[in-house]
Amino acid sequence: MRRILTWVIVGALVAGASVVVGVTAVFFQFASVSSSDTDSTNDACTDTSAQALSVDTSALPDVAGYTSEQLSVAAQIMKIGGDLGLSERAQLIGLMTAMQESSLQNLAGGDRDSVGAFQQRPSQGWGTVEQLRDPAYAATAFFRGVDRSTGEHNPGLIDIDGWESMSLTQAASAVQLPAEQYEDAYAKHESEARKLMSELAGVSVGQASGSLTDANLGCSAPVNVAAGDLPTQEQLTQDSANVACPDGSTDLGAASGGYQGKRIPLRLCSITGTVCTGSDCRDGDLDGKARGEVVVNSLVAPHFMKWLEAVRADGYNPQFSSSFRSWETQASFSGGNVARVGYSNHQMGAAIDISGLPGGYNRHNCSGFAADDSCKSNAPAWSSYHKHGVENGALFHDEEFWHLEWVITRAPERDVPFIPAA
Amino acid sequence: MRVSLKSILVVAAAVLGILALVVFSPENRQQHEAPQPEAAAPSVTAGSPNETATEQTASPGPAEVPEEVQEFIDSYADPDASADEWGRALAPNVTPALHASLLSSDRELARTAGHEILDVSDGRVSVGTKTDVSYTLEYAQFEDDHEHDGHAGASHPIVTGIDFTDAPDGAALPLGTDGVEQVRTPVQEALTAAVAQPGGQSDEDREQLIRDTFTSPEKAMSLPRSVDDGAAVRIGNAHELVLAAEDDQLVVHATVPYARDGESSPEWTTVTIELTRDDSGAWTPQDAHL
Repeated sequence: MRRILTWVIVGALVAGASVVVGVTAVFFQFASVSSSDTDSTNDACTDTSAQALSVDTSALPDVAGYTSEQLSVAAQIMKIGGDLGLSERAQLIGLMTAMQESSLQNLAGGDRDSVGAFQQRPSQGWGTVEQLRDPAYAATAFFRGVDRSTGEHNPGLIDIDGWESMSLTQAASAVQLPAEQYEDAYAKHESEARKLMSELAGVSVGQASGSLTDANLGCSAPVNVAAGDLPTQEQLTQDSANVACPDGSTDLGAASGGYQGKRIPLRLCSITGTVCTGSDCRDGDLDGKARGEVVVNSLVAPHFMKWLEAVRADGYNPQFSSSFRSWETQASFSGGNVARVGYSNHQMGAAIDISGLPGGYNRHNCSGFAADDSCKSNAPAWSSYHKHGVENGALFHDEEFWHLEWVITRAPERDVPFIPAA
Repeated sequence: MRVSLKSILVVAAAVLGILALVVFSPENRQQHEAPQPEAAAPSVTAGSPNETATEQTASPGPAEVPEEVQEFIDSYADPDASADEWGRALAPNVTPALHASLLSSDRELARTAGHEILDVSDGRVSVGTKTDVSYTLEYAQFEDDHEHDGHAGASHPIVTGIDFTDAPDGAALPLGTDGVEQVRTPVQEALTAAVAQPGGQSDEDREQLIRDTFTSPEKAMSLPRSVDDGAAVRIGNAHELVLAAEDDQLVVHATVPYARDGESSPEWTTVTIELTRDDSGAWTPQDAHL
């Protein structure tokens, strides 16, 4: 009997442990899926740093406007940059620097004891005159810096902290240390330098301009927080993709809204703890980003959340059938009573449709009108929704009792006390 | 034979662990729970459908597909239809972007693709001749979910992408199931020419770069500079690419950040890039507008 009891206990422990193991494994399965699903901007943020352009210094092409000496100097700068394993951006900075300092000439002199294509100074430990008149040496010194006989190191480009993210002219200045009034002087050579690089490398200007794209741009979480005040109509109709989503929401990334027929960049926020079942908010919509929650733009999100908190405090917990709509979704709906594409507040992430209110969801099916012309419903919940809507900058549509919006397109037509007409 | 308690415990734990994994696996959960809308909801950005996606219905059995998908397969392989007839026949059953890509695709490839359904699973249909799969299409169920006017929702399948198995080099292919990736590179080149600016770029330089990048840059020439003081401007990669069609031409609405060189807080713009085919059948920028 005792043996049987032992087996029962052991069996139960094993089963329990196994379930824990299994559930844990499944949890990690879900966690990994979830993590990859929400990492939607990865493609856009993949580093695509432009590789160095290759150049054959023994067979240089003729390039109008440049002497053979200039072409040779330019090609050697590019080659040294490539040989050192640096990027196209580094090659470009080298070329721009030599363009500013010497017009790509291997000068025998210059200001004070400056010499060579980069106008480096022997007295400052950059090398001997002979060395500095060798473009390959001069370029290497520019990129890598030079160890002085005193034990100090003259920093080159790659010694400069953060040179890759500095402006080109700042990076060049950080090595050359010009007088303050010349610190921006390198910038103007970028366009010409890119063209010359494309000629020497035998590729198009476009192909020689990879560093015009910075994959990190737009990938940091935005730091601008929507002000506590309601957004003005002007703010709502301009690029707001830099405005961060508030706590209590999930950042779905930058997207394009629509206002008066134009596409406007904005940032979409998925509001945690809401339920939305319509287009572009259903789980998996919006290219997999939507989470079955209300999606509004980051300027509206804090005010929508305050509204929701207030109506919940009144005992209501609304669900939603529509929030942000993409341009394409609006285009598919457009016609009849639905706003034409580019003219719906849904497209700016500034409107929501509340589901579950009694009565047919037909336009003009209003039980009356509020003082602000909002189309009324007799449902007690509607009164709460409307009251707190006004408190937080939103009105109901004047023909649809379910459509709450932070007025954009219709502001001039409605006597909206809190949003100045356009 | 005496079996140790330790051995029994190890075996029991392994068996029960596997059992728990099977019972709780996501696949099985989907079978036991109500259909999940997200399971097959197609990407709005990837297809710009006429209507909005809802859940995928259960897949038909082998060689059995929705009527609309069958219509597409038959129309696509129709060897006799004129170009206009062919385009009109395909239009109702594909997304606008896919339709636009089909109109400029290799018709001979379509004629020889066959129309036998060889496999059907999870919204994907393999089509070919006898046992050779020529292409696999993906379809999704779309539902018109108008709230307004009490509009009754209508639902129908629509083809969202076509992946060819062994397309010959240089064939002009229709948009695949990952159409965004097919156009990402030419769109980024277009954005570089239209939005980014090298320092010191003159108007003439910019116009030349636009002419070199776009095949017919009428509207692109009118695009304003991203900053008008001649400063250097960088762009990020496009963060949102929406495939769509304008006048039966494939377009991409690209939302991209840009900033002055050395600054990290970007502004954003959305540019519409019109795409055409180059000699190799690949997509290349034709023009652009805001």
